[in-house]
Amino acid sequence: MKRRILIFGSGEQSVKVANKFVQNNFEATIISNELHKYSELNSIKFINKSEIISAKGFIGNFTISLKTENDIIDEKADIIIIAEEYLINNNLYNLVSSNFLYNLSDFKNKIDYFSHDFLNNKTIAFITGINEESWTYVLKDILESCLKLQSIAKLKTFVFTKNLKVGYEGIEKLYRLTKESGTFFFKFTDSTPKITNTNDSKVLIEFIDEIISQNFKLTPDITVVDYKVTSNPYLQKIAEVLKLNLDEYGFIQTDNVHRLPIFTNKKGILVAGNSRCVQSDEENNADIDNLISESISLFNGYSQDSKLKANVNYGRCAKCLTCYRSCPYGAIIFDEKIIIEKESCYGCGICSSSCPARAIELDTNDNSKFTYNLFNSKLHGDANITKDDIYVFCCERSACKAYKSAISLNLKIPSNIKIFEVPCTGSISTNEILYAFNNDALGVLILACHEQNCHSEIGNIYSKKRINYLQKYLEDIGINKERLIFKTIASNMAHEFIRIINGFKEELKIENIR
Amino acid sequence: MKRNKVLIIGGGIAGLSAALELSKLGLESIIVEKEKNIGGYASQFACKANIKCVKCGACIVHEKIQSVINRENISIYTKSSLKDIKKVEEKKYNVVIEKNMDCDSEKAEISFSINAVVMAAGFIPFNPKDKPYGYQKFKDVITNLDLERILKSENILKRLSDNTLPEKIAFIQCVGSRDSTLNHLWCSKVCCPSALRMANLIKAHQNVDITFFYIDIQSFGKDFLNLYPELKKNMKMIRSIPSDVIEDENGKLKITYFDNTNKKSIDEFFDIIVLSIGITPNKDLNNIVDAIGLQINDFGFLNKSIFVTGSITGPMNISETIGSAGITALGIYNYLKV
Ligand SMILES: Cc1cc2nc3c(=O)[nH]c(=O)nc-3n(C[C@H](O)[C@H](O)[C@H](O)COP(=O)(O)OP(=O)(O)OC[C@H]3O[C@@H](n4cnc5c(N)ncnc54)[C@H](O)[C@@H]3O)c2cc1C
Ligand code: SF4
Ligand code: SF4
Ligand code: SF4
Ligand code: SF4
Repeated sequence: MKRRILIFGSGEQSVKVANKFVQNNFEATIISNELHKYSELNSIKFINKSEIISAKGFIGNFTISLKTENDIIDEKADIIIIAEEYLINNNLYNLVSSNFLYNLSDFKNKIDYFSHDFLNNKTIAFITGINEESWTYVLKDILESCLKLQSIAKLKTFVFTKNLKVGYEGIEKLYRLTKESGTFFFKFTDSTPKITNTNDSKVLIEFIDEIISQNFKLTPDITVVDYKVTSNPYLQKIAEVLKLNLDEYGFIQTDNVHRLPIFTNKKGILVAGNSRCVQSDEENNADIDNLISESISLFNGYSQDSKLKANVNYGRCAKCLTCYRSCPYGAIIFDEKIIIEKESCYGCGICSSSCPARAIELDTNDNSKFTYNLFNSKLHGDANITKDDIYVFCCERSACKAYKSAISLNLKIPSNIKIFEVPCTGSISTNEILYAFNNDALGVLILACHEQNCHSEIGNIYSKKRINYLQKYLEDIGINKERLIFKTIASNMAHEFIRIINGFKEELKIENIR
Repeated sequence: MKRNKVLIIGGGIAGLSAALELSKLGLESIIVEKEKNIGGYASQFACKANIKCVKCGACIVHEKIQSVINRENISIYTKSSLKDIKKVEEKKYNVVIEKNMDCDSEKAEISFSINAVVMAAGFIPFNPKDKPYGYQKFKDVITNLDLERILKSENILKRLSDNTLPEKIAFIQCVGSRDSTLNHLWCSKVCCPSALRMANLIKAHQNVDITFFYIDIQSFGKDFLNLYPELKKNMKMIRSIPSDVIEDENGKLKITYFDNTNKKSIDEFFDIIVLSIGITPNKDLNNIVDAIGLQINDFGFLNKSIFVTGSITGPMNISETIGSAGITALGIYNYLKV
C-alpha cells in the first residue's frame, strides 16, 4: 500500500511537493485553507477551504481533523508536510499608491505587457534595501527587470540601495552586466535617501551622491519598490494544533541548526520552503528533494530512533501535567492518563527531571550497548569515584562530543574528573545534583549546548534555571555555591572543553572550597 | 534490489552528507578523501557562539563526521585518491583507488566496481599571496581561514609575530572575490557572515578595536535584520577596499584608504589584519570530470547535476551544502533504482 502524505499549502510550492511525492510512489493530498489555486489538477487530491482543528497520532499513523465548509472530516497520514506560501509586505516606504508606483513583485510580471511606446524615454527607479536590509532574490528580480526594460525601449533605469546583495550564484556577474548596459546604481553608506510623495502623487527621491557629495532630486516616471516577505499567519494555527515550534518571525522551524534542512520538533512532520524561512526558488526546490529523500528513508527500514525512551510509573503519577507541558517534541499526550508516544519521544529526559513525583524514568532500548547506571547517564573513563572528583555532566550532542574529540586529538584530559554523558542537560534533576554533592563531589559542572543550539530547544535553558536556583539553595544548606557551575559549549570545541574544566578546577582551588 | 555502490569523491560536508543520506536510503557508499581527516574546510571552523549560538553550522559538521564513522554502509578511504576510472557499461564503472598517498612504503592500490560517482571535492580557498597585502610576508596578516583555525583552539587572539595582545584589528573583505582583475566575477557569500561572526566573538573575549573594510555586506541567516545593526555598532565600518598593506619598523601594519565621508586619504595602523578570502573552483580534477562527463561552467565551477554536490558547484554555505546533498541522494537513488 502506498504511504500517505498530507501537505498543508495553498500555492505553487505545495503542488511541486505533491507532484514529486506522487512521482516517487506516495499518495499525496493537499489541504488548503482557501480554494487552492491549482485545485483543478487531477494527479493530486485536494481538500479545499478546510481548517485544521485537531490532530493525533505519530509518524506512520497521524489523524488530522479538518473543518471543511459543511463538515468535519478526519484524514489519515503517514507523514505530514507543511508547505504554505509566504506573504508579501509591499508597503515598506509608506507611499500612496498611484500609476507611478509599482511593487517589485507585481512589476516583474507586468514588464512583458508594457508597450515600447509606454516605456520609451521613461525614467524608472528601483528602490531596494533602503529602509531595511534586503536579500539577493530581490536584487535578482531588479537586475533582470532592468535588463529587460533596457532591451524593450530607450529609457533610464536607476537602482537605489545600501548594500548590494550579490551573494547568490551569478548575481555579481548579472550586476556588472546590468551596469554596463546602462543602469545607474546609487549606493548609500552615510546617508539615506528621502523617499516621499509629491502633491500630484508622484514619487520624489531626494538623495546625496556620496561620491561627489552633491544633492539630487529625482521624480521618476515609474518607481518600483522592493518588498519584504513575512510568514503566513495560518502557520500559527497549524503549529498550535500539531505542537510545532515557531521561530520569532512566525515560521515553522526554529532558528536551530539541528533542524536543518527540513525538520521540525515533531517526528514525521516536515517543513519546506517558505514555511520554514525565506529563501530562493532553488533552495525551495532542494527542500523538496530532501523531503522525499527523508520520507523514503523513514519507511525503508532505516531508523533514527533514540536509545532512550521515557516511561511512566502510573503508581506515582499525580496527573499534574508538568511533563505534558514541558516535552519539547510533542511526545506526551493526556487521555485520562499521561501517555508517552514512543514513536515521537527523543529520550531527552526533560519530562523525567521536571516531574515533581519522579514518576518518569528513561529506559534503554538495548541494554547491550549502554548501561545508564548513575543519574540516567553513562559514565566515561575510570569508574572509581573519589573525594576530589569533579562531576562533569555532558550533553551527548555537544559537550560529550567535544570530550571525545579532545581524546582523539590527544589533548591532556584534566585529572579527577568524571564525565557523565546525559541525553540532554535538561534531564538532570535537582535530586541528581544534590546526590552528587552527597557523594562527596568536589564540584559539579553542567556542560550544555549554547542557547538556540539545544536539540530539545529548551533543555539547556531549563538546566540553567535549575542551576541558578540550586546555587542559592546550596548556600542555604552550607555548601559553597561556587562548587556548582553551568557552562555552554559546541561539539567542535575540544580545546575549549579542556579550558572550561581547567578553569573550574582553578576556581575551586582558589576558593579552597571544602 | 541488488546492492548498489556509490563512489563519493571528497569527504567534506558535501560528501559526508551525501553518504549519510544515501545510507539512509539503503545504498552503500565509499568516500575517497585525499586528506588525513574527513570533514573538509568546515571541520576546521570555530564555534562563534557567545553564550548564544550564531548558527554558523560548524558543530553540525562535527556531528556528521561522527555519525559517518559509525555507519555500516559507508566506508572511508583517507589519504587516498581516485587513480583511474573506466566505464564498463551503463551504471557500472571500474575504479582504482590509491591509498596512503603520502607514504611511499605504505602506498597501495585497490580496484573494485561501483554503480555511480558523486563529485564532492569542494572548493579551493583563494590564495592571497599575489595580492599586495603582504600575506606570508608579514606574520600578522592572516586569512579568515587562519583565523577560524586559531579561534577553534584559542579563546584569545594574539599577534603571531610577538604573541602580544592586539589593540586594533582590521578585516579586509572580498579578497579574491568580486574581482574583475582576476576575472572572479562572483561573490563568495560565506566571507561576510564568517568575518562578522568572528569579529563579534573576538570583541566578546578581548578589548580590541575592529575596523571592517568592505564593498557590500551580504545578508545571511534568519535573524540578519536584528543581528546586523548590533554587529555594526561594535565595529568601525569603512566602505572601501584598501589597495595595499605595509609593515612599519615597529611591526605595525599600515593601511591607506580613502575616507569617502571626509574626502581624504587616511593612514591607519593595525596589529592584525584578516583577509577575507573567498571560494574559488577546484580545478585539479578535470580528468575525472571528463571521464564521467560532467560540465564546467563559465566561472570554472561544475554545473549542477545529481552527480555533483556541494561547493564544487559554486560558493555555498554549510546548510546549503547539506541541502544539495539531499538532491544528490534522491537523484542517485532514483537513478539506480530503475
Ligand atoms: C574562511 C571561510 C569561512 C567559512 N565559514 C563558514 C561558516 O561560518 N558557515 C558556513 O555555513 N560556511 C562557511 N564557509 C563555507 C564552507 O567552508 C563550505 O560551505 C563547505 O566547506 C563546503 O563543503 P564541501 O564539502 O563542498 O567542500 P570542502 O569543505 O572543500 O570539502 C571537500 C573535500 O574534498 C576533498 N578533496 C578535494 N579534492 C579531492 C580529490 N581530488 N580526491 C579526494 N578528495 C578530494 C578535500 O580534501 C575536502 O575534504 C566558509 C568558507 C571559508 C573559506
Ligand atoms: S509530571 Fe509526573 S506527576 Fe505530573 S503528570 Fe507527568 S508523570 Fe504525572
Ligand atoms: S524524554 Fe523528552 S521527548 Fe521523551 S517524552 Fe520526555 S520530554 Fe518528551
Ligand atoms: S552553529 Fe556555530 S555558533 Fe552555533 S553552536 Fe554550532 S558551532 Fe557554535
Ligand atoms: S560574502 Fe562579502 S566578503 Fe565575501 S565576496 Fe561576498 S561581499 Fe565580499
